[in-house]
Amino acid sequence: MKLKKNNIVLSYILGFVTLFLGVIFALALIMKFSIGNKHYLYHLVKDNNYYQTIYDEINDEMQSYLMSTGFTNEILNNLYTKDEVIDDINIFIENTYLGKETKLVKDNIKEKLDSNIKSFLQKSNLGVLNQNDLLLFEDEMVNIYKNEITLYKMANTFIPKYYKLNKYINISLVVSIIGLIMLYIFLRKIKIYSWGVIILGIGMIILFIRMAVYDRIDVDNVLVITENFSQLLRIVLHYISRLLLGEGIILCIFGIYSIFTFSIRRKYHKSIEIR
Amino acid sequence: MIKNVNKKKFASNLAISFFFAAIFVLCYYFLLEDKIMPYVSLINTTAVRGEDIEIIAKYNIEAKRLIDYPSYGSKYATLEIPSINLTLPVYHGDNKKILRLGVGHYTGSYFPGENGSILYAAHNNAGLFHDLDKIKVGDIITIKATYGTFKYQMKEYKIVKETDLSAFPIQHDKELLMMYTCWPIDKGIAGHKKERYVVYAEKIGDEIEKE
Repeated sequence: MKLKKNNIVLSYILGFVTLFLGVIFALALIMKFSIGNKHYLYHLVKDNNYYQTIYDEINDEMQSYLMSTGFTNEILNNLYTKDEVIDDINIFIENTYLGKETKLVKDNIKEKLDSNIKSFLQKSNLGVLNQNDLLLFEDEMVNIYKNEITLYKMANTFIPKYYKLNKYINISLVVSIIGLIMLYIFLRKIKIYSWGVIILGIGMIILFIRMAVYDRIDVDNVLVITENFSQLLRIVLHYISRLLLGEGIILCIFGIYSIFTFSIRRKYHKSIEIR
Repeated sequence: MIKNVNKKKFASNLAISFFFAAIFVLCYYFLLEDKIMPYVSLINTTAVRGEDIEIIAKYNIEAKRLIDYPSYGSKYATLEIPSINLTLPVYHGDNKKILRLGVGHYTGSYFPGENGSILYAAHNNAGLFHDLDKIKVGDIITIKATYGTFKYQMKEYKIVKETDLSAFPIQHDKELLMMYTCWPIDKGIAGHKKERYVVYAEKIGDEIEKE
């Protein structure tokens, strides 16, 4: 049966739309398995020793702040534990995933600090200017702890965007799956090329996206908010890059193979008809 | 199996696939490239290439401006104050990590030789700006940058509140070196220091490195 000219044009147009939806689906899937996945984020911080890094960084930052105050590191004794840091980071990840701001209440640190300062002042010959200055100092120390956990106030600008991104990823997955199923049912009847055409096209576009965006970013030196957070971001970007590369190559190979078998089948069936 | 392949069909299917991909690539370049590239450029601009690498800054003598600025976090000069026997490295930036290493250069101020205000900060600990209050009017301060040597003479000092930004005027037509640290320095008082000791010095000479 000869296809009508309109159907041929339609098959190309719908083929392109299918390809486009396929690219959306492929990209959304990669995002869903990486930055859109809460468990991936937990594994990321755990496997890269992020808890220990932040625990050390808080200590480091507090010592830096102490440098011009006259206090010694003695006042940092037992201010906070590693388990407390782990719990607070996990709360931050959970809240970020849900699009909520994390507000840590660290009165325990303030009380312990107050007690340490009183012990220190009793032993040393130093005094304090006034009670307000002491409170300022304690607040600053607690802020150091909170800021390292919650990535300073800059995190508040990207948390809503991250939440929106996750929503878009989920919507894209659902819309693309439904669209692909509908287009498959319709295209089956009118397409004049192999499904491999679309699969190969998706593979090539995925590889192109990797080249056009990822290869242009200086990933190994990316700096966003803090160096510790940036290290995690670099790992995520490298991971997404590997997923894009793997997905693109597999789709290309599968697409070429599909086109190859499509071409064989027709010749084979034709030879059967002749007999 | 390979003999049964319809080569024409195989080639035409491949061509259709490349055609689809090419349309997508064109759409990307015409519709999305301009929207995505500013973000990529911004990420690359803020990329930090190591903290202790000394980047050779380039200076334009006629324009009295740096052409290449040192990376944030890199050491680009040495500060010498012979009257208090002080020699310290100067880093571009003034975050807490930098201030533990030496003198921090506030990124919103000019660089030596640019004919504007230069703002340096350091902690008041021994080995840093502990003796800043011992510099006297007339003392010479030398900044040996990778692109030249600049000499300044102390004019005055002030003790100001930490929130008093008027004490750090960013001038665009006069080279003024301002160095500050927390105050009081080691006077038996512990805690958050709410004042700053600021030294002001004016430029008296320079020697630019020729390329």
